[in-house]
Amino acid sequence: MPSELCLHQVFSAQAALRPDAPAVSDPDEQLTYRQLDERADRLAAAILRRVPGPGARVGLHLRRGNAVVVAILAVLKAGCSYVPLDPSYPADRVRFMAEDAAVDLVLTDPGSDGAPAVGELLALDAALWAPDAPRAKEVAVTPDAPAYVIYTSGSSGTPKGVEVSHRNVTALLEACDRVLELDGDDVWTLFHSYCFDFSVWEMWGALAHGAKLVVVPAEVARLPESTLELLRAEGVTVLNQVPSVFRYLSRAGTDPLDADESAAPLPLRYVIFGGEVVDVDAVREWRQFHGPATGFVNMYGITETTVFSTCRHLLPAELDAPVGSAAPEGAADPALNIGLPLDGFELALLTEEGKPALPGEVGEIHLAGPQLAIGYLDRAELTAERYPLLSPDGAAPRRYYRSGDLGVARADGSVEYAGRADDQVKVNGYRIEIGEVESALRGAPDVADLVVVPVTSRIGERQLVAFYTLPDGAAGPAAAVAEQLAAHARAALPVFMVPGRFVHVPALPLSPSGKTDRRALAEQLR
Amino acid sequence: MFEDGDDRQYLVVRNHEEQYSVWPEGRELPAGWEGVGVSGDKAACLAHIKEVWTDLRPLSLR
Repeated sequence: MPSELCLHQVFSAQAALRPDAPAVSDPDEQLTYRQLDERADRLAAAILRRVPGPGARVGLHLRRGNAVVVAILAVLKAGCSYVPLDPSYPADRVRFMAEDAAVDLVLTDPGSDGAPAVGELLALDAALWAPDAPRAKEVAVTPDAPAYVIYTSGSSGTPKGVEVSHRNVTALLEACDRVLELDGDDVWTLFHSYCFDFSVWEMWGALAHGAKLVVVPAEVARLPESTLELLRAEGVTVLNQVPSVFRYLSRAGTDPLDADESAAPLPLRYVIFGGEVVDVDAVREWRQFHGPATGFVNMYGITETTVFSTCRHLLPAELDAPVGSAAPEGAADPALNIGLPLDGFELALLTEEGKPALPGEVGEIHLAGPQLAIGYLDRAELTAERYPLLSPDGAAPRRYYRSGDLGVARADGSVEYAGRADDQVKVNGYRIEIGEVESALRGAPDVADLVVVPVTSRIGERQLVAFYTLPDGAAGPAAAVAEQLAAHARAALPVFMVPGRFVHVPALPLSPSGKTDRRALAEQLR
Repeated sequence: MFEDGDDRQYLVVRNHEEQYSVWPEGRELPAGWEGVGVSGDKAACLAHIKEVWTDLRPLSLR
């Protein structure tokens, strides 16, 4: 695929090639490539009548469905970039993102309220793409133009927008074509919210290959049994999963009581993991039950370097080992092995002194290449800091992204993930800066001090726990404060950032260096 | 990696796309990048970048 094309042109090429092939479906309807193309052209015309011109940013405040895919295509065809504004997020956060991105227009569902009053509002009524509605003429867009702005958690207390170009995404697609065999017969799911950049890969991985994209309703994605039914009914061949979500799918899909001996095997060709460390036992159990036809791929990546940066195919020998097997002596742990950089990436592991780490030594993962995003929207200082100019090993200096992830190089050149260099955590694949959660909660009334600590339960589930102290002479019961805090958190933060427990402590313990001893707090829960 | 809190002196540098970064003072400038005449510790350089880099798009897109 020539990378001089914009994303919507990559789609148009497929639409010309296979106009009558299914492109996208949701529970209400299925659209062919031609129908999707026409709808997007008509919506693009409606967008262009409402924004100052190409280059504008357009917010998406939409429920999951085909309309999301139509809207994204239309925004890009109009030469604009899209900004996901998840309707399930608290209204204040949605308004912050809409204002921070200075959107000129917000696309929303008909009859929905709650879209932020920033810019103009346009409800996606079917009349917008009726056959008599005008289609947009082709807008000249360079592949270096931004395609989307996705917000991620920020340690200073406010989310930050990562601005990603068309070329960043076409580079991702090209690189993935070298490690995965994908074609027009595939059936993909849009399993993830369009606020999570995993969705960028799902949507374009399908449409760039002329494959079919099945939009998974949120209530189906939440229930592993329903997801399994959908995989079977739709004949899904490429499934992308966050490992902690796949764990439940594997449990549901390997329940001997539910086994239907007469059912045809699932046609799954690939399960692609992203967002967290792989649960290898969940894969082993799945494979024992469903057989070896499915390939399992671990992809490591970051929004700032466009979805994926490294790739590793899990090996049959690792997956056929008994559940609970540890990695052989000296070999990388298959759960942590993130493999090799994707084509086009330069990966450097640098020590605290900025020197390349020796084999076996931990270093921070730094990435250079065509997938490095444009930067953080309107945050020059943060962009210059996180995307420094570096010349590791004395090579010609390049712009790198400093990931904050730690890694160790293995003898075969693959990289083993070794945790975070800061206090960012992942819960169900979502990136969370602890500092942002703490900053939101410290504003709550009746709390003297508060820290948030990630805790892993005995069955391996990550959860945030907030520990708080009461002001001297506080009258009310601590339990009432916990309820207030939980309500405060739900109003200020998206669900995935709300701590699962609020624990009152008389005082926050200090470590010998005088910092809050987070480990001691986590130990209290055991 | 340039560690936070290091006491080295840096230059503010800019490339042909008018993207900004910092570069250790005294080292040969990387190809394609030029100093903008501002130097100081890293925090001061980043603060200057915040002031002057108001449009983060590459120049060719503006």
